[in-house]
Amino acid sequence: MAWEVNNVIAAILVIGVISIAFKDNIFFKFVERIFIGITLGITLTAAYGVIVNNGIIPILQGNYLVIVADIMGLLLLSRFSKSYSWLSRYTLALIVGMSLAIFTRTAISALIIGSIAAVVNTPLITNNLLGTVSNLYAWVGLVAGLVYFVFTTGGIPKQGKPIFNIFSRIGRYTIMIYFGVYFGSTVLGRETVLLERISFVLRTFGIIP
Amino acid sequence: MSFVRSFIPKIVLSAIIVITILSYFLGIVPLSNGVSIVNQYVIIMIAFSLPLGVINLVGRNIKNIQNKRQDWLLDIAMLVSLTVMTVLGIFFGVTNTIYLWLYNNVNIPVGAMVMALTGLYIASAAYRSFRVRNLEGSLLLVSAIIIMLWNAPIGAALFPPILPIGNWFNNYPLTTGNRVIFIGFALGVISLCVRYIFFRENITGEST
Amino acid sequence: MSDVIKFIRIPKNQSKVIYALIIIVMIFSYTNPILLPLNVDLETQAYYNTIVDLPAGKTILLAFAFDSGQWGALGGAAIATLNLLQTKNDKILISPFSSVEGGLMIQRCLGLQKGGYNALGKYGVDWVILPYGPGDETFYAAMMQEPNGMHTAQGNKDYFGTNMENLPIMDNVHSHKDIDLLICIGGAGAGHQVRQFGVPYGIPILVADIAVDWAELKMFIDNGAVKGGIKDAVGSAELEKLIGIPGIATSTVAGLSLNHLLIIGFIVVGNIQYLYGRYKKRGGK
Repeated sequence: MAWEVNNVIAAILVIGVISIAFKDNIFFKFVERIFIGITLGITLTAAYGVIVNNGIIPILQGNYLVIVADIMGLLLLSRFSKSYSWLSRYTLALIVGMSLAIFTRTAISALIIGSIAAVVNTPLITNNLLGTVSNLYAWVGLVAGLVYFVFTTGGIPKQGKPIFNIFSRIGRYTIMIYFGVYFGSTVLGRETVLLERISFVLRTFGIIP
Repeated sequence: MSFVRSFIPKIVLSAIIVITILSYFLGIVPLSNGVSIVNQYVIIMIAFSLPLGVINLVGRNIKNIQNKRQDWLLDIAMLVSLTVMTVLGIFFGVTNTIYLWLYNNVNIPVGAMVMALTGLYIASAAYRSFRVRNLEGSLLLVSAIIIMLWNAPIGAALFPPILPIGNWFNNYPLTTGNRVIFIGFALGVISLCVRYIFFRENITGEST
Repeated sequence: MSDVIKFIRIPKNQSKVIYALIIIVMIFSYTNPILLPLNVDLETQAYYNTIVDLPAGKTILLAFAFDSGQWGALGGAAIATLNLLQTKNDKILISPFSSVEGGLMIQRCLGLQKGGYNALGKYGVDWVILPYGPGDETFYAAMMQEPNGMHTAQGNKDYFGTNMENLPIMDNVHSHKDIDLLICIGGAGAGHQVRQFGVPYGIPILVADIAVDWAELKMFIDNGAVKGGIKDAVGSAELEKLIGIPGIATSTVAGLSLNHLLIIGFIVVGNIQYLYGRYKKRGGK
């Protein structure tokens, strides 16, 4: 509904943010600070919920082993002290180690084997030319891209290793085309968010229905 | 002292990586149960890390206010909004009217607009930096334009063949390039894991 | 020739001119909309079909893993998914996953869905909101663990602090074995979900994500790890078209066409200037 009070306040704040694109001003700085404060308040509330529900209530219910987790978590606060910041390394070791291991144990299957299997299971020769060329692109692009990505350091050598150089160059072109397509998608992503905000402001002030 | 300060954390890091990965592949029930318990506790530890940034920022802002540095009045506004939101969320619950109002009418519009500013900057970047300098640059440019025309409904209206061309670019070059990137990324993470397991890397990222 | 270049040239330090042009064109595209038909992509159709074809009585884990910055891109998909799930007779567990704002975003979207906040049925019986959990994949792995990860990883409480023993819907939900479908709105690509839900436990996955993460999502769809996907606001508009309830996304994409043409125009103008500059350097007129 046009000119609704809540939406008018929100639209004014949106205009305040967009003003930074033209000139730095005090209104933008004010809106920015308020936004940071609110976001951090939400973060603290969320952290409080997890610490209380997962870290304190189980202790009160008799699960005393959780005290160890709470102490390890509190050790992170030692990062603010220059002499005792090394205490936080124990907690960081557990966090980094567990997170990395959880990622890695399925990354091989999800990222490496999944990708290679998807390409290998595609027949190279199909009953139409476009299909064959496309599948050939997928096969050659993957191999050449990996050759360029993983094995080329310090630029493609100008002399020697002709087959490697050809694959490396094809890989470079494959990745360039990928970056172009990726940029095209990025433009869509960024522009739609801006479009939504502009349409919100226009609807709030009754310029569009 | 460096044994306690740096070597034992490395042992802990290495052990947790090895045990977690082995428990997944070997399927030994007591090992899996132990890893599950540690997993639950790591979530609590990560929750303790969330206030770290807040404490740092609040400390800096208080120093700015005490020394009356530039824009110190705005830092007060930040602290006030932080305090109000935290008090409302913790003591009055996440369904509190004012808490929800601040989120819906301040955080969402401003957060969305901050993200939307990148839409302006990307257009400026496209004008400044996309140049037909060499073959690689031309390939990047042409594929970007094809996808932009394909994404916009008007592309198909102005130039109907853009639909199958764009579909082809979406199905083959995009997926192929992404597979290359992600296989390289996965290999990089696995090598990082191996470096941690063999104590070749500190937790803070410096190599030994 | 040089007169033409002078006419179309944008001054080098005047990025503000570009910003102003973009905003003006956007305003124009909304006040004079070009209404063009939207073609529904195969991935959006697969997203829709997977939800529609799910038998009744199943348990769906619906994640709202996006924040205020992605409201414009994914708000439409979130509300459209809720509208679609209203037509199903399934149990719905709504989780913010590791988004600190997720719980608030869930409340916002529930209020904006057709039929209002409680349109999904009776709270605690047909649907529930789970609490936030930090750590991304660490949290997802903890949730899926046997025997009771769905309870212990979340402190045995829902988002509002109610004990899970008092929520009948959670009586039959303990671990990965009890989840029949994962729908993730947001979530920084589909990689986290594939690694922690798809690969270890074979849970079917649907993802709606921003266009920046579309490359990763498309790769997983082609690999067969993800069943269907929504691409940013365009995919959200396609989903709204499929369910027959136009929303935020449909109104947003009305301005997309002119805006993309303008950016292509900027690229072309920039290159004309560049190529003309090179031509002049080589002694041309």
